[in-house]
Amino acid sequence: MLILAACSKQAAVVSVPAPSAEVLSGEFSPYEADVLLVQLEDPAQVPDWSQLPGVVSARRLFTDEPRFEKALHDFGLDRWYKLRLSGDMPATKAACDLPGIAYAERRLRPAPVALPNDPDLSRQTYLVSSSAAPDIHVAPLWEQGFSGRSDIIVAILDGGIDATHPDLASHLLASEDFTEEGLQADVHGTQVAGIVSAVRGNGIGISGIAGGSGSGDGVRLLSAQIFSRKEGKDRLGDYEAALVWAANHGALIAQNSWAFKADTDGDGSVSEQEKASFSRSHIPLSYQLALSYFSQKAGCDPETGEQRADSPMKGGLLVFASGNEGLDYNPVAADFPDALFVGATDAEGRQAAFSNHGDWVRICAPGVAVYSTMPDGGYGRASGTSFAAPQVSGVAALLVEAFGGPGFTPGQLRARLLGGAAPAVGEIGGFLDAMGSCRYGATDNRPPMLSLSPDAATIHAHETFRAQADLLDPDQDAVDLSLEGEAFSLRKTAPDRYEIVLDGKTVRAGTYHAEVTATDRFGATDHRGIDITVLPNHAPVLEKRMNPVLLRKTGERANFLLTDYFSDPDGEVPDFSVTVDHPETVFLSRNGASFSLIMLQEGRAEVTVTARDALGASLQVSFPVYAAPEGLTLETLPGYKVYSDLLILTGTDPVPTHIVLQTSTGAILYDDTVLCGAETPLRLDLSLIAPVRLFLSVSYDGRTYTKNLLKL
Amino acid sequence: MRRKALILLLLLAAFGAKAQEVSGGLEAMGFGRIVRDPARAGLAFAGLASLSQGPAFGSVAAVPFYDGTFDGAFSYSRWNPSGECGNHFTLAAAGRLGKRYGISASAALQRAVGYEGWTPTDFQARLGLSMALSELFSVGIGGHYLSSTLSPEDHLSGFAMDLSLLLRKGGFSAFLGLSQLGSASLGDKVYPTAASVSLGAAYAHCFGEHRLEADLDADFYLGGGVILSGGVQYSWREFLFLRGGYHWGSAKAVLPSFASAGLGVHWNGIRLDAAVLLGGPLSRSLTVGIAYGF
Repeated sequence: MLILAACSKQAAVVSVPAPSAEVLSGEFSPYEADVLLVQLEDPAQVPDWSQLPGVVSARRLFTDEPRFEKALHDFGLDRWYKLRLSGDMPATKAACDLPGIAYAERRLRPAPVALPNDPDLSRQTYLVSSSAAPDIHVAPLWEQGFSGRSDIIVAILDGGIDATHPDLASHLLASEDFTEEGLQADVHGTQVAGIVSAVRGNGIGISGIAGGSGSGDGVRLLSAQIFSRKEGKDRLGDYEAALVWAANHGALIAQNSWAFKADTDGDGSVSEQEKASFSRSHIPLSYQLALSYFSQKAGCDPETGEQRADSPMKGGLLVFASGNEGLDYNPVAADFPDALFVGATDAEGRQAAFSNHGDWVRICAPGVAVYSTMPDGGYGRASGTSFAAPQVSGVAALLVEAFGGPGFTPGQLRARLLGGAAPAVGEIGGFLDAMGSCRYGATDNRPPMLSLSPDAATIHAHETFRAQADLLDPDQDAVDLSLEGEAFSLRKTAPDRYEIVLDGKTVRAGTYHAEVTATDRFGATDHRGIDITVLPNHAPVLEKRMNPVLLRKTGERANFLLTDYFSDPDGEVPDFSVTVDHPETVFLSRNGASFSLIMLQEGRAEVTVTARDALGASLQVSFPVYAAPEGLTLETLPGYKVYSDLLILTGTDPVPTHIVLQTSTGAILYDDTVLCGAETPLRLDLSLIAPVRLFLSVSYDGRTYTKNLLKL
Repeated sequence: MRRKALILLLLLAAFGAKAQEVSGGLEAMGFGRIVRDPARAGLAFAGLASLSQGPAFGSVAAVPFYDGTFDGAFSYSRWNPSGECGNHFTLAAAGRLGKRYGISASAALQRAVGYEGWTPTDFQARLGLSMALSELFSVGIGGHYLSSTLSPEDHLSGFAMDLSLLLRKGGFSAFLGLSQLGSASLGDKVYPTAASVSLGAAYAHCFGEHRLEADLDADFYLGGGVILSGGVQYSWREFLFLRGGYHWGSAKAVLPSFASAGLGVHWNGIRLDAAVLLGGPLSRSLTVGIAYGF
């Protein structure tokens, strides 16, 4: 970047440490390739520019109406000339060849700092948010009657403003082109202007921050066009001159949504070399002078230098977008720390990833999907620090309206903006708080009011407790909410509303207490307590025994509704899993809380049902399924171990069957002859029998079958 | 037509019938009530009040009235061959302590056959103490440990106790007792043992070289079953013994009904006895034993 030094006859001292000369002389360069700014030793001794090879044109850099000449002269701005060169001659050497040149410098090439639009975000939430996304708290200022005044002027140094836009036309005081390409309605400039002072209360479009009350008030805008586009190419204007012009023509706030870029080769990324070079860069002297001129002369009489009687502020506030390259350096900030650099936050109120940052960025505002005016009477959204900065400019205009007057200075204005901001966001300073800035230094604070609903509850372990906390501040100060309490979480759901949550599944049974405190800007508090009891969890229980199932032929189905068998003492509906160990024998068809078993072939299968609650407590039950084919001899259900009922099946046709069931000691439990078959099993109730080994003898059709069983 | 209708009705009745109840089996550890003494087996398990046999297998209350000092015995039973067939091994001993006291102990192991891959086992250990209150009365107290392997994964175990009172006068003796009062557990579930109020009476009469004894027992089980058993024993010269009896068990009783026949040879303190159960599900159950007393 550029290192400034005095220019001598013997040496061209305009040196560029980085990037390389090839880059500088090539298509991509941080400097305007055909512009050289020179400072004369004596403004009265203007060289014959035609003597300098390659000079296409030359004119004074800072010009204005004659009544401003003295002021310009006092600042030495009348000694500056802008030379446009043909490009064949190296600018530095050419400049130092002429007598009377005290200094020469290249001009850095800035660019608007806008990111591609994101049309999916809601409109103007940066002003009045209905969600958890923070806004700049400007509505209370409007309610108090501060919405913009027509004697307060904000200069938009940017692309041109659409002078025909119905939401801007009545607030556009004057437009001046500094690009020599004629006034144009630029998207970027129109968007920036709308944020500051789109007409408010006219029933159309958007509300500018200082757009008035609908009665013809609202701050006025000066459009200093320093960017234009011709034949597909961007044209850069005399931004130094624009700043001086703005000061001379009544602007108290200079809104600059542009920055010097580190991406000098224009490849869309900042290399380490570019970053290192950028971090050593400084602004041109001419520009430093222009910044000082605005800062000191805005709102002042050009002859006397004193605050004009009709000006609410002596001097001007410079507001800049911090830049969108995610860097921690800005040469303007390094060389002119009085300017206010604005960072951008995202939709969640966090530092936007693209926002330049550092201790020089002392204030921030929403910079993602900011809704504003567009050329041709339209509206749209845009992202970037470009659209955070005009929010600060707009609020600054309201504060001038509220507090401006004789002796009011940009320093006081800056102190209000910074002192009244909400807590810092990352490395981009405090979050813009219009009402907070208005209330800055107030001594009549009233504490906030916090309401909680509910503030106590008893929940089951699987339930989640939710409470709503509403905030109200009688002074309309911004209020923060804090929560102290194990296991509780806090989430902002709306500008003045939070949700407090305790998930029973994540804590043990017991009682939990939380303290919720609302604190306003001045430290006044209100607090409430929450007491929650989480009941112990209980595993699902079996309501009805799952008895053995007998399926007699292929395709036969047995249906089950799991909620008939299982319940949960805590009132929740368990999750169920059902498995069959021999799917080739029995097909399992599952449908929500019910399932069916369908016989596929002869055999025996075990069905296992697991009921599990939300905390993982479970109950597992198994029961057998017997698929009984034709030609059965003797089978029993459930098989070897019997808990209650014993089914005895014989052949397919019911025949007289002598059945004897005895204990291991020989005691007879059952001895009878009945008609028994596969379709008509004998069912014996052994539920009252004490645990014992059993011996079963079944005789039919001249054959006797025996089986050892166990009653448990 | 009527037959088919009857079958159809029976089919419908069976299909729609509820589960049928079974009788008995309300108490656990019924095997603890099996009599291991081959002599008493020949009497159809009667003989609680008998004083004619050695006391090793008998009631502990009979030990103070034993003429000798010590009696030891071993028996083997082939149990219930038509049902869950098992081999039972029992070792018993009893002895007098002084003139008035007695002690007896026994251990029985039952192993069922016919199971593939494993052998169900039932075990019973008994220890008793007794005291003669007078020449006519003695009392005894005993404890039992019982365990049963129901399956390789399921084991039932428990404790029970006996209280007994024995009266003798001349050839007549009587018994009153509370038998095997206790409980057994399987996991966290508890079941009552097969406990009963036991009554017994015996009368022996000698005529020359011959002796005849009749025994009658009754058990009233707390679970509702009733067992009545009676037996007759004839002996010649106290050398050869012939026995017979009948055991009746109600529907809820832990043991079924059966008849019995027994044979014994005693000589010089050595006793060889055998018995077979006849009829009912325990038919052809065989018990043999050897004992020695001095």
